[in-house]
Amino acid sequence: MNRRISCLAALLLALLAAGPLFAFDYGLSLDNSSTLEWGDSPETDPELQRDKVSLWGEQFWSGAGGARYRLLFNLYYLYTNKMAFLAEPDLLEFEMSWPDTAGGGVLDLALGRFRFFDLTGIVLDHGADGAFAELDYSVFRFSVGAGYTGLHLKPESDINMSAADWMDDADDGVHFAPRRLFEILTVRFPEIIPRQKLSVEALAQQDRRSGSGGTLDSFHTTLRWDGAAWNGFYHDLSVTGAFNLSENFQGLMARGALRWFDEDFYGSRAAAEFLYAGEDFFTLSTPTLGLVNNPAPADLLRLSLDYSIRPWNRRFSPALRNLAFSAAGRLYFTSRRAFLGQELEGGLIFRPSADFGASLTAGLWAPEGGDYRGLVRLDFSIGL
Amino acid sequence: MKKIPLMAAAACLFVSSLLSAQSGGIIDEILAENEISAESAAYLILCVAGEEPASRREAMERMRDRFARIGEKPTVGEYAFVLQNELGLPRGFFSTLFPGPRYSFRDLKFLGIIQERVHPGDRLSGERALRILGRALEEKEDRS
Repeated sequence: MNRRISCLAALLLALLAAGPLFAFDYGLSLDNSSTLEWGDSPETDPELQRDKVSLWGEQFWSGAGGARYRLLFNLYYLYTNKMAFLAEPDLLEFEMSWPDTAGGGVLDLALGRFRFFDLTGIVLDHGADGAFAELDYSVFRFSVGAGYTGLHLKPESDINMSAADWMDDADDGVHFAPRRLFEILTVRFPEIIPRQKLSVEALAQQDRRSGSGGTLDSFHTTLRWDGAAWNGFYHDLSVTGAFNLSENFQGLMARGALRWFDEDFYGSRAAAEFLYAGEDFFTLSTPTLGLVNNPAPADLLRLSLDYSIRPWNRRFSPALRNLAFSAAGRLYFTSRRAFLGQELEGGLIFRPSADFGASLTAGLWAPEGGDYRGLVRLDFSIGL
Repeated sequence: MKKIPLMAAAACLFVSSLLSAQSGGIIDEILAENEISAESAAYLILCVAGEEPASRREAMERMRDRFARIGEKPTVGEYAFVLQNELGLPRGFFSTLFPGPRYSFRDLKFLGIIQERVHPGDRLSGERALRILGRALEEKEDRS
């Protein structure tokens, strides 16, 4: 106990000694989301109203040799039509960055609660408690991390991998997200061809649910090739294998995207994308694959086109410059190419200043041989 | 010879084009400052405002009221605050209600004038101050 107090006192003294280099920033953000739906929603009790108040803070300081340290937190209070309230820190992170480490690389370390992503952003995009380290030599990058999801509150978690997870999701007596531990290792290789990046990733996951039976351990591996194609065009191709180690089956996902950016042509952005997921493919977290129709990435082929434009880019006041219009069309098939339906989406994003933003999005889902469903969503965000 | 990064050199050229030849030596000295002084920041801002002072001390004398709450070594946030006021750069809602370094920093970050990975409380080098000033002038020109 005395040792702990001594350590804490030493840490406090060290922090006070570095006082002049300290800086603290903080803020409050308010987010409101209102949704209007038509047609039969697959959810019995859809979330139509969502209000979130977040208090964030950031403490940062510099050390010897260009080292930088940051302590970040974000504590939110959430109210929706589905639940009275939810309060939780979704970010509680200590970051360290050391330049010129291990032969000239930049070493970044993170500890605490923060979001983890995999190379595709589809298999894993979720908050967890853990650690992450990255060594970046500019041409070569290596990162390793591990996280645990079981301390997150359940309503804001979207990890539902097994039948037991889904049962817990429906049980009001269960308050925390599924207890899953994962480890992720990513390597980005040196560019043999200029501006072409090749990366590989391994993601292992263990189900820490107590009791026997119903557990699901898994392993995912991804190969990704992305980079510049030609003037203003960028490509992104990846292949991911998913292995269910508990039930011994595997699935495959392939994804390809061609993106185009042209700031001079009214800040235009366009993307053509395909996503193929085999019947037995599965992910750790639940990705968003459509505004109205959001299927799981399994037994699916999705073809999509997206376009956004800022007509007053580099003209007039910042208010008009940051007014963007977007449109998207998506076709959905099964992995054996049976047509499932199509979705059209449109949006208007308005961000006149650093402290205010609003967006209006709408979507229409037209399934093959079913009733149409529609959705309109209005979002506001204020940062104090 | 000290190597100046390409962006800083471009910003330096852009700002220098607005200054007279005699200020070139002072600009070189400011570029070499690891932590810019309030006098140097005042000098830069007055120069681009078209009121070129004879020295940095004179610049500080003329801008003393605007640097009243700022220490001898302004932070990025404090520099953003003075720059926003002097160049009349666009403000957000809360920056208008509660003017200060904190909101000015956010406004300039939003406008893309501050692009570096910095914090409002960070100290500012002469090179970075010049880069920020160059982008602020571009923003002002775009709007005029």
